[in-house]
Amino acid sequence: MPFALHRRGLLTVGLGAVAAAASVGGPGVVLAAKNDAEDLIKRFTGGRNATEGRVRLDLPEIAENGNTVPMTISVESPMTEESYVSDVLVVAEGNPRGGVATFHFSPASGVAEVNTRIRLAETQDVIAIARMNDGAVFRASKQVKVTIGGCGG
Amino acid sequence: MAEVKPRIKLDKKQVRKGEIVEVKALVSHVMETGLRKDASGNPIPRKILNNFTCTVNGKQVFSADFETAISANPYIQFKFRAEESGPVVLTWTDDDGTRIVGQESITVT
Repeated sequence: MPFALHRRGLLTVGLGAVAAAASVGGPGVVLAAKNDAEDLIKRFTGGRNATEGRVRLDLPEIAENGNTVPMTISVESPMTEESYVSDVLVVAEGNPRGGVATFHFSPASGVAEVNTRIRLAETQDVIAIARMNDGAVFRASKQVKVTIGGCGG
Repeated sequence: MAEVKPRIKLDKKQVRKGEIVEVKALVSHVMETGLRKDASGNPIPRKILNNFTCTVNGKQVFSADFETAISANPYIQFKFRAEESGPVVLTWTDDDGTRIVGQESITVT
Protein backbone atom coordinates (compact mmCIF):
# COMPACT_ATOMS: atom_id res chain seq x y z
CA MET A 1 0.00 0.00 0.00
CA PRO A 2 2.28 2.68 -1.21
CA PHE A 3 -0.26 5.40 -0.48
CA ALA A 4 -0.54 4.60 3.26
CA LEU A 5 3.24 4.39 3.57
CA HIS A 6 3.50 7.72 2.01
CA ARG A 7 1.05 9.20 4.50
CA ARG A 8 2.90 7.70 7.44
CA GLY A 9 6.13 9.09 6.07
CA LEU A 10 4.59 12.50 5.79
CA LEU A 11 3.44 12.32 9.39
CA THR A 12 6.94 11.41 10.55
CA VAL A 13 8.41 14.31 8.62
CA GLY A 14 5.81 16.60 10.13
CA LEU A 15 6.59 15.49 13.70
CA GLY A 16 10.27 15.83 13.02
CA ALA A 17 9.79 19.40 11.91
CA VAL A 18 7.84 20.24 15.05
CA ALA A 19 10.53 18.68 17.23
CA ALA A 20 13.22 20.62 15.39
CA ALA A 21 11.33 23.86 15.80
CA ALA A 22 10.91 23.20 19.52
CA SER A 23 14.59 22.44 20.05
CA VAL A 24 15.50 25.67 18.27
CA GLY A 25 12.91 27.68 20.14
CA GLY A 26 13.70 26.20 23.56
CA PRO A 27 17.25 27.43 24.15
CA GLY A 28 16.39 30.61 22.25
CA VAL A 29 13.90 31.53 24.94
CA VAL A 30 16.38 30.76 27.69
CA LEU A 31 19.11 32.79 26.03
CA ALA A 32 16.84 35.73 25.22
CA ALA A 33 18.15 38.88 26.85
CA LYS A 34 16.53 39.77 30.15
CA ASN A 35 17.02 43.44 29.48
CA ASP A 36 18.58 45.89 27.05
CA ALA A 37 22.20 45.13 28.06
CA GLU A 38 23.07 43.52 24.70
CA ASP A 39 21.61 46.44 22.76
CA LEU A 40 23.51 48.94 24.87
CA ILE A 41 26.75 47.06 24.22
CA LYS A 42 26.06 46.89 20.49
CA ARG A 43 25.36 50.60 20.33
CA PHE A 44 28.46 51.40 22.37
CA THR A 45 30.88 49.24 20.37
CA GLY A 46 29.29 50.00 17.02
CA GLY A 47 29.16 46.25 16.40
CA ARG A 48 32.89 45.73 16.92
CA ASN A 49 34.02 42.67 18.81
CA ALA A 50 35.39 43.56 22.20
CA THR A 51 38.69 41.88 23.10
CA GLU A 52 39.09 40.42 26.58
CA GLY A 53 41.75 42.30 28.50
CA ARG A 54 43.09 45.71 29.50
CA VAL A 55 39.95 46.29 31.56
CA ARG A 56 39.95 45.35 35.23
CA LEU A 57 36.56 45.04 36.81
CA ASP A 58 36.61 44.61 40.57
CA LEU A 59 33.41 43.47 42.23
CA PRO A 60 32.86 41.24 45.24
CA GLU A 61 32.27 37.51 44.59
CA ILE A 62 29.30 37.68 46.91
CA ALA A 63 27.28 40.81 47.60
CA GLU A 64 25.20 40.51 50.74
CA ASN A 65 23.29 43.66 49.93
CA GLY A 66 22.50 44.23 46.27
CA ASN A 67 21.51 47.80 47.03
CA THR A 68 25.05 48.95 47.26
CA VAL A 69 27.79 46.86 45.67
CA PRO A 70 31.22 48.51 45.45
CA MET A 71 32.69 48.42 41.94
CA THR A 72 36.11 49.51 40.72
CA ILE A 73 37.07 49.70 37.08
CA SER A 74 40.51 50.45 35.77
CA VAL A 75 41.74 50.34 32.22
CA GLU A 76 45.35 50.00 31.14
CA SER A 77 46.29 52.96 29.00
CA PRO A 78 49.07 55.55 28.76
CA MET A 79 46.32 58.25 28.77
CA THR A 80 48.22 60.51 26.36
CA GLU A 81 46.81 62.57 23.50
CA GLU A 82 47.83 59.76 21.13
CA SER A 83 46.36 56.90 23.10
CA TYR A 84 43.73 57.09 25.81
CA VAL A 85 40.54 55.51 27.06
CA SER A 86 37.62 57.67 26.04
CA ASP A 87 34.58 55.87 27.51
CA VAL A 88 33.69 52.90 29.65
CA LEU A 89 30.22 51.36 29.56
CA VAL A 90 28.98 49.20 32.42
CA VAL A 91 25.93 46.94 32.03
CA ALA A 92 24.25 44.45 34.34
CA GLU A 93 22.65 41.47 32.62
CA GLY A 94 20.19 40.58 35.35
CA ASN A 95 18.79 43.96 36.36
CA PRO A 96 15.37 45.21 35.21
CA ARG A 97 17.32 47.71 33.09
CA GLY A 98 20.68 46.85 31.63
CA GLY A 99 22.43 50.20 31.92
CA VAL A 100 24.52 50.96 34.98
CA ALA A 101 26.73 53.87 33.98
CA THR A 102 29.00 55.28 31.29
CA PHE A 103 32.22 56.94 32.35
CA HIS A 104 34.04 59.44 30.17
CA PHE A 105 37.78 59.97 30.35
CA SER A 106 40.30 62.11 28.51
CA PRO A 107 44.08 62.55 28.61
CA ALA A 108 43.40 65.06 31.41
CA SER A 109 42.12 62.17 33.52
CA GLY A 110 45.69 60.89 33.82
CA VAL A 111 44.47 57.45 34.90
CA ALA A 112 41.36 55.62 33.69
CA GLU A 113 40.09 54.47 37.03
CA VAL A 114 36.74 54.88 38.73
CA ASN A 115 34.99 53.52 41.79
CA THR A 116 31.29 53.72 42.58
CA ARG A 117 28.51 51.69 44.18
CA ILE A 118 25.90 49.94 42.12
CA ARG A 119 22.59 48.13 42.54
CA LEU A 120 22.24 44.49 41.52
CA ALA A 121 18.79 42.90 41.57
CA GLU A 122 20.02 39.29 41.65
CA THR A 123 22.99 37.05 40.97
CA GLN A 124 24.26 38.01 37.55
CA ASP A 125 27.13 39.03 35.29
CA VAL A 126 28.32 42.61 35.17
CA ILE A 127 30.16 43.66 32.01
CA ALA A 128 32.50 46.60 31.52
CA ILE A 129 33.50 47.69 28.02
CA ALA A 130 36.18 50.27 27.37
CA ARG A 131 36.42 52.24 24.15
CA MET A 132 39.80 53.70 23.22
CA ASN A 133 40.31 56.92 21.30
CA ASP A 134 41.13 54.86 18.18
CA GLY A 135 37.82 52.99 18.47
CA ALA A 136 39.23 49.68 19.74
CA VAL A 137 37.07 48.05 22.40
CA PHE A 138 38.07 45.85 25.34
CA ARG A 139 35.91 44.08 27.87
CA ALA A 140 35.84 42.38 31.23
CA SER A 141 33.01 40.66 33.02
CA LYS A 142 32.42 39.37 36.49
CA GLN A 143 29.72 37.32 38.12
CA VAL A 144 28.37 38.59 41.42
CA LYS A 145 26.28 36.42 43.70
CA VAL A 146 23.65 38.58 45.32
CA THR A 147 22.07 37.52 48.62
CA ILE A 148 19.53 40.33 48.98
CA GLY A 149 18.39 41.96 45.74
CA GLY A 150 18.83 45.65 45.23
CA CYS A 151 15.67 46.84 43.63
CA GLY A 152 13.48 47.53 46.64
CA GLY A 153 9.76 47.34 46.06
CA MET B 1 14.30 69.95 48.19
CA ALA B 2 16.70 71.27 50.76
CA GLU B 3 20.08 72.42 49.57
CA VAL B 4 22.30 69.36 49.26
CA LYS B 5 25.91 69.73 50.21
CA PRO B 6 28.16 67.11 48.63
CA ARG B 7 31.12 65.79 50.58
CA ILE B 8 34.29 66.01 48.53
CA LYS B 9 37.78 64.91 49.42
CA LEU B 10 40.99 65.34 47.45
CA ASP B 11 43.93 63.19 48.52
CA LYS B 12 46.22 66.21 48.13
CA LYS B 13 45.72 69.90 47.45
CA GLN B 14 49.32 70.99 46.90
CA VAL B 15 50.66 69.08 43.94
CA ARG B 16 53.47 69.13 41.45
CA LYS B 17 52.52 69.56 37.82
CA GLY B 18 51.63 66.21 36.28
CA GLU B 19 50.89 64.51 39.57
CA ILE B 20 47.77 62.37 39.89
CA VAL B 21 45.10 63.61 42.29
CA GLU B 22 42.40 61.32 43.63
CA VAL B 23 38.89 62.68 44.20
CA LYS B 24 36.27 61.04 46.42
CA ALA B 25 32.77 62.47 46.50
CA LEU B 26 29.53 61.52 48.15
CA VAL B 27 26.18 63.22 47.72
CA SER B 28 22.80 62.60 49.35
CA HIS B 29 20.15 61.57 46.85
CA VAL B 30 17.38 58.94 46.77
CA MET B 31 18.24 57.75 43.24
CA GLU B 32 14.64 56.56 42.84
CA THR B 33 14.52 53.98 40.04
CA GLY B 34 10.93 54.49 38.92
CA LEU B 35 10.38 50.73 39.27
CA ARG B 36 9.13 50.76 42.84
CA LYS B 37 5.58 51.24 44.05
CA ASP B 38 4.36 53.08 47.12
CA ALA B 39 2.12 51.59 49.83
CA SER B 40 -1.03 52.09 47.77
CA GLY B 41 0.48 50.50 44.67
CA ASN B 42 1.16 53.65 42.68
CA PRO B 43 4.48 53.73 40.88
CA ILE B 44 7.00 56.09 42.43
CA PRO B 45 8.34 58.25 39.58
CA ARG B 46 11.98 57.97 38.61
CA LYS B 47 14.27 60.60 40.04
CA ILE B 48 18.00 60.11 39.77
CA LEU B 49 21.13 62.12 39.28
CA ASN B 50 21.80 61.21 35.67
CA ASN B 51 25.03 63.06 35.04
CA PHE B 52 28.21 63.92 36.87
CA THR B 53 31.07 66.10 35.69
CA CYS B 54 34.31 67.31 37.17
CA THR B 55 36.23 70.29 35.88
CA VAL B 56 39.61 71.56 37.04
CA ASN B 57 40.22 75.22 36.31
CA GLY B 58 37.36 75.06 33.79
CA LYS B 59 38.65 72.02 31.91
CA GLN B 60 36.68 68.79 32.10
CA VAL B 61 38.73 65.91 33.45
CA PHE B 62 36.06 63.27 34.09
CA SER B 63 32.34 62.76 33.60
CA ALA B 64 29.78 60.01 33.98
CA ASP B 65 26.24 59.19 32.90
CA PHE B 66 24.39 57.38 35.63
CA GLU B 67 21.49 54.97 35.17
CA THR B 68 19.05 53.71 37.77
CA ALA B 69 21.49 50.98 38.83
CA ILE B 70 23.64 53.50 40.70
CA SER B 71 23.07 53.20 44.45
CA ALA B 72 21.27 55.82 46.52
CA ASN B 73 23.56 58.52 47.88
CA PRO B 74 25.94 58.03 44.95
CA TYR B 75 29.61 57.71 45.72
CA ILE B 76 32.20 58.36 43.06
CA GLN B 77 35.96 58.10 43.16
CA PHE B 78 38.23 58.96 40.25
CA LYS B 79 41.57 60.57 39.41
CA PHE B 80 42.92 63.39 37.31
CA ARG B 81 46.31 64.72 36.28
CA ALA B 82 47.05 68.10 37.83
CA GLU B 83 48.12 70.62 35.21
CA GLU B 84 47.00 74.03 36.51
CA SER B 85 46.00 75.53 39.82
CA GLY B 86 42.35 76.39 40.19
CA PRO B 87 38.94 75.34 41.35
CA VAL B 88 37.90 71.68 41.20
CA VAL B 89 34.18 71.81 40.51
CA LEU B 90 31.93 68.77 40.80
CA THR B 91 28.43 68.97 39.33
CA TRP B 92 25.61 66.44 39.59
CA THR B 93 22.53 66.93 37.40
CA ASP B 94 19.12 65.68 38.54
CA ASP B 95 16.40 64.32 36.20
CA ASP B 96 14.43 67.48 36.99
CA GLY B 97 17.29 69.65 35.76
CA THR B 98 18.43 70.93 39.14
CA ARG B 99 22.12 70.78 39.90
CA ILE B 100 24.16 69.96 42.94
CA VAL B 101 27.52 71.67 42.85
CA GLY B 102 30.50 71.24 45.12
CA GLN B 103 33.90 72.87 44.96
CA GLU B 104 37.45 72.34 46.15
CA SER B 105 40.70 73.78 44.85
CA ILE B 106 44.21 72.66 44.07
CA THR B 107 47.50 74.49 43.86
CA VAL B 108 49.99 73.25 41.28
CA THR B 109 53.58 74.15 41.97
